[in-house]
Amino acid sequence: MKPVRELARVVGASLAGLVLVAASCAPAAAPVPAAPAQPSAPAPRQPAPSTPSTAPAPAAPQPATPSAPLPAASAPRNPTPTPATAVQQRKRGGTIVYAQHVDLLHTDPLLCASSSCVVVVGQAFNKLLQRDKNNEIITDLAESWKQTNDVTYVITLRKGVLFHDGAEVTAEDVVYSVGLLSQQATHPTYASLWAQYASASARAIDKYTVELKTKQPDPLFPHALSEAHQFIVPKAKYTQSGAFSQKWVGTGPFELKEFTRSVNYKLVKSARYFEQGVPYVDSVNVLIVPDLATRVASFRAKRVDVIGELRAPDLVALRRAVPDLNEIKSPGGAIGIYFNPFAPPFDNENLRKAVVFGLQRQQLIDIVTQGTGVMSGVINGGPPGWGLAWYPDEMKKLYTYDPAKVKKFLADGGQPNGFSFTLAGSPRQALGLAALEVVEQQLSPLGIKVRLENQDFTTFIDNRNKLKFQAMSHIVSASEESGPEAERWFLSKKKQYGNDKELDVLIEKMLGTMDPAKRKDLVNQIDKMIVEKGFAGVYFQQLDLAVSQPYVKDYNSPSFVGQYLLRYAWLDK
Amino acid sequence: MADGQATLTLSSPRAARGKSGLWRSVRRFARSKPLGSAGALIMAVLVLLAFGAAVISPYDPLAMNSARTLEPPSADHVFGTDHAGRDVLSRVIHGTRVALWVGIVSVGIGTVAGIFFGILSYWRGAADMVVQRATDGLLAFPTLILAITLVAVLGPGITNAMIAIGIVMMPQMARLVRSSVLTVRENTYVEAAVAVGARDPAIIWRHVLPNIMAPVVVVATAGLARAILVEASLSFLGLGTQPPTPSWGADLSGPGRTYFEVAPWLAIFPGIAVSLAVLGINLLGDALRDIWDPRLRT
Amino acid sequence: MPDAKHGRDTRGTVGCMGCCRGAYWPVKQYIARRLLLAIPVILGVSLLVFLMVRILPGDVATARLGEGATAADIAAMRARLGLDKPIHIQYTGWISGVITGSWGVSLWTDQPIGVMLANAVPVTLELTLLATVISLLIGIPAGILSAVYQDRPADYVARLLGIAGLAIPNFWLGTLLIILPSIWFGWIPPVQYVSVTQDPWGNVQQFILPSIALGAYLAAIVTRLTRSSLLEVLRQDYVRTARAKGLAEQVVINRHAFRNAAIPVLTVTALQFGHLLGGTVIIERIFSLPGIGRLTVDALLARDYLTVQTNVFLLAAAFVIVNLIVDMTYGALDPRIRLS
Repeated sequence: MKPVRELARVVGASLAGLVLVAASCAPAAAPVPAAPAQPSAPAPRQPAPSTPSTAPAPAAPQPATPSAPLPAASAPRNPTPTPATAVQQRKRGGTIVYAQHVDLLHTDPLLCASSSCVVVVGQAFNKLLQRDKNNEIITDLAESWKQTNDVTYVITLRKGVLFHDGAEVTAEDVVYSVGLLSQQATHPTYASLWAQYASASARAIDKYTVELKTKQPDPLFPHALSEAHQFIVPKAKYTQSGAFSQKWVGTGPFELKEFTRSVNYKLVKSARYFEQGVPYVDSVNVLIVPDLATRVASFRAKRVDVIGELRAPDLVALRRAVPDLNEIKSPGGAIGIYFNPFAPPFDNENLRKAVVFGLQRQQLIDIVTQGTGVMSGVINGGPPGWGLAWYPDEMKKLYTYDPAKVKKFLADGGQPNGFSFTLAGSPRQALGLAALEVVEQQLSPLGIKVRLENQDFTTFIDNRNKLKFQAMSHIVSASEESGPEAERWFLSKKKQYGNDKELDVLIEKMLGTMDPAKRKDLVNQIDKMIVEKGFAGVYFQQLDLAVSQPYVKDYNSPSFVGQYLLRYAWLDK
Repeated sequence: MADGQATLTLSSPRAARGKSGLWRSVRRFARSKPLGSAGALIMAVLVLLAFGAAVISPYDPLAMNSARTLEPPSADHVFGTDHAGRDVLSRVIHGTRVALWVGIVSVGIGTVAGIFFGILSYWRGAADMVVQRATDGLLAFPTLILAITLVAVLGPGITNAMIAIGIVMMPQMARLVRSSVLTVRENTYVEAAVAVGARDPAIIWRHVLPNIMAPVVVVATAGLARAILVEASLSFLGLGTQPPTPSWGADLSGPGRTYFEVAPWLAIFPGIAVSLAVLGINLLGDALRDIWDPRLRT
Repeated sequence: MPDAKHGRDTRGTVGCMGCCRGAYWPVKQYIARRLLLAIPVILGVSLLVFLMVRILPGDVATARLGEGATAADIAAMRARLGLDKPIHIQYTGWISGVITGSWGVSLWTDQPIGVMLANAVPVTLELTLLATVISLLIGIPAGILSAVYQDRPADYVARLLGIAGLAIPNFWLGTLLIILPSIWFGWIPPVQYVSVTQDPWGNVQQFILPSIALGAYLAAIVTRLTRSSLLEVLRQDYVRTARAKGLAEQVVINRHAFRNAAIPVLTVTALQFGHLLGGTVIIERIFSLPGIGRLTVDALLARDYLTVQTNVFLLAAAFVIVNLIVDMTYGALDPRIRLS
């Protein structure tokens, strides 16, 4: 391409404000923090603190949050334009081969709610809001975003965005898509998540303007909306499980050209994508390779460019195999022991605490994550400062290992000589399984005998839903609506892992608090109380890991939302 | 029974020969069947390791040490250490217990159940018909899928894996017992017993059972090897022995494969152990079959 | 089997005594009888798998709907999937559908089961066929060598290798075949399946290693069986006669011994083929082959009853049919079997 033409394209892109910052510096080794929902728009974006150690942000981060109260809500900002030079250096063409372990559950993009779907669906569709590589909220199909009162948001769509069949995206399509996602019977997993976001309705004001109303005020609503899967489909074309499942029509930078279930999904570059210059590669081929050792071997043999779903131990072998590979990390979930507080033995707070404080977390981190995990409470992955993981000194103090303390808990709980319980795990949570063995070893000398039970995933989920367990090794996922997460798992009436009046009061109070700073404080108090009352024995917060070949550039995040960013990757070869 | 015959039979009055007779039989066996003797030796070593695991192992197989992970074989740790700092040699030794235990119990279940159902064909007719069709049906069920389904129904764990493997082995044993029983039924001494008026249970106990034991033992031996392999396969899929019990199959398919490039000893030694065990069992089984029933050669 | 008392066939193939004008009538009756007996077997398997999957803990409707589902939603999903009907209706509905060829849709992915099978069956068939061919190509010559040079070094080597083939777990062999070439040569088979019509060379590259991993066990069996079978035949009187007549050893082996020795070998191989069809689960997983074994286990873990039932039914039917064909061929080859 002639340099002049290239320059003109870049300038145009910058003027349109459509191209993201894609910094070519390596991501921080620490869990990448997300900026909090800014209360006034457009608030200055907080720089991502990057620390060389594995600990998260500095001991007492002070998010630069103006204390202006809602309802002047946060506006997700528009993506920042790329500096011209960076784009010029990027090569075009080629195919990125991505290997994942499980097939898409469903080829209907709106029924595919798991991480197995995101890589594929996320390239062919867009959402109203998205996250950039620093996990900050940016606009996607929305051109601007305004909060007019506590519960109402007005979104103006970009004009001239075309679906792959040439039709223009209008407010009708958005209203239709949003409406679909709230129906449990036809779109189950979304509806349960959507209800959690307390959204009530969407309405088209004019051709390019949509009004969203939530049921209750929710300061983290944009956060929620920017999470995966709120894809926009054409009203005229979408049919559930019908022809649409075979032939997608979306707005994304890639079109699903062909696929064979259990084998691969081939996405090719779309000429119609609204963001100029994107994507850089010609196609993305997502392969289904169920066995981890085979995925690693195919990476080693350079048949595959990117693999995700890795654990720290896998990196050991991979680093040896491909010395200059790219390691991509983003904060994962809090893995730990979660109890059934409604039945013996763990309806007894002291026995729970015996287990929670009987764990030696540093050893768990060393053995299971090769030192990459961090001590954490339950709430994680949220904006900086939300969740105990942001305060490592406090964490160390809270989790100090003291066998005498454990003995006292046992005695107070009526089992001075120890007791035994069953801990259920599932192969889907591979790190959890590896941790099980360490946990068993750590608790045994204290008199607490752990019987490990490895269940297949369906049985595991079923048992959890029916409360047929004593303790489970589970992962409370990194999610950016830290408040609702606490409600979902620890409110007594939800019959999950929490059963305490004091905690309930605190959670309800938190949900009713709109001021971000106050809410953050309450969230941290909740996190601490969960630990202190023994409702969760978190081992650590893990990192989601992915690796890419040295020539794959600008693929920056293996997280749930980050898969979307594969569209900005390019191949230097 | 003339001396100088190189075969052992069940009906020979061994007791009369006494201890020196036993030793002579062993030596004769060793000379005529060197491979079989090697197999027997391997089995003996494994049994010894299984019983004496706690005493023989240099370390506790479950003891973790985060300071000494993934160390190659050395004087301290003859087989190296794994990702949790556990001694691989101790884990392999303790794995013998699981392998033999799983093998023996599941084959035991399969054999006892198989004999029970196979004996039913002594009375030809409806029972025989039903048993035949049932064994045909079970045999037609794909083996590994049957095992996986059974374990899914019963729940994971070593006990349920043993039951599942036993059920999987039962039809083949039943079929073998059936054909042996039918053959033995035609023998003259059975006819004689019937003529004399002996009752069926007595006939079965005194004449039929002893004479089907030879092929049963041979097939059971082969089954033992199969059971160990099936358990390893179930562990590969996460359905067999549960952590933290050391199991060759689980160690092979888990840490063994994850760390293969940086620590191949994690996989090599359990792999050798499985192969040696199966090898020894097969060698011994071959020899026994050669001695007792050359017709069974398959 | 002849009855000791009456000297007559006890299996009920009446009419042969004394009036065997041709061998055909008993054969036809034999085939008809075996076919009739096969039907209850296959139906029995179908009933067994139907019941077993329903005992499994966990429910496909709950799993599909996720955590926020209400009881009403779950009931609606179960109704949609046909799981609310009485059990015997579900069974008869399913089995009649399978027999008439309308196989329904997967309870988990809503995909037509017929389509899934049409994609998966050729993969497993190709894998199993290749494994069988490889095992014969290796096993028969090795077995012959072993028998001809009995008790000499070649024999011991072949026997040890045979036992080694039986001893190594196939998933371990498969793992080594994937990992070692990737470490030593930086190469692994392609992990994206292509059918043999789309890309023959790619297909061969993909299937050669898994076929070896799957076929090693069978190769060992073939070696040992060829050896023992040939040895037994070589001891027979007619071989001694042939030798006494002065025929060259090679001719003796080729013309007389081998053909008779081949029968049990081929029989067992064919039976093992039927057996292998159901045993490809782990190899398919390791080598990323979208075959029926992998499909069945994935469906099992997802509690997709319909897919599991249909797959197991088909695999069992295939096994029974293969056995039947073997029996009939065996009967045709060896008149002694037929008449008994």
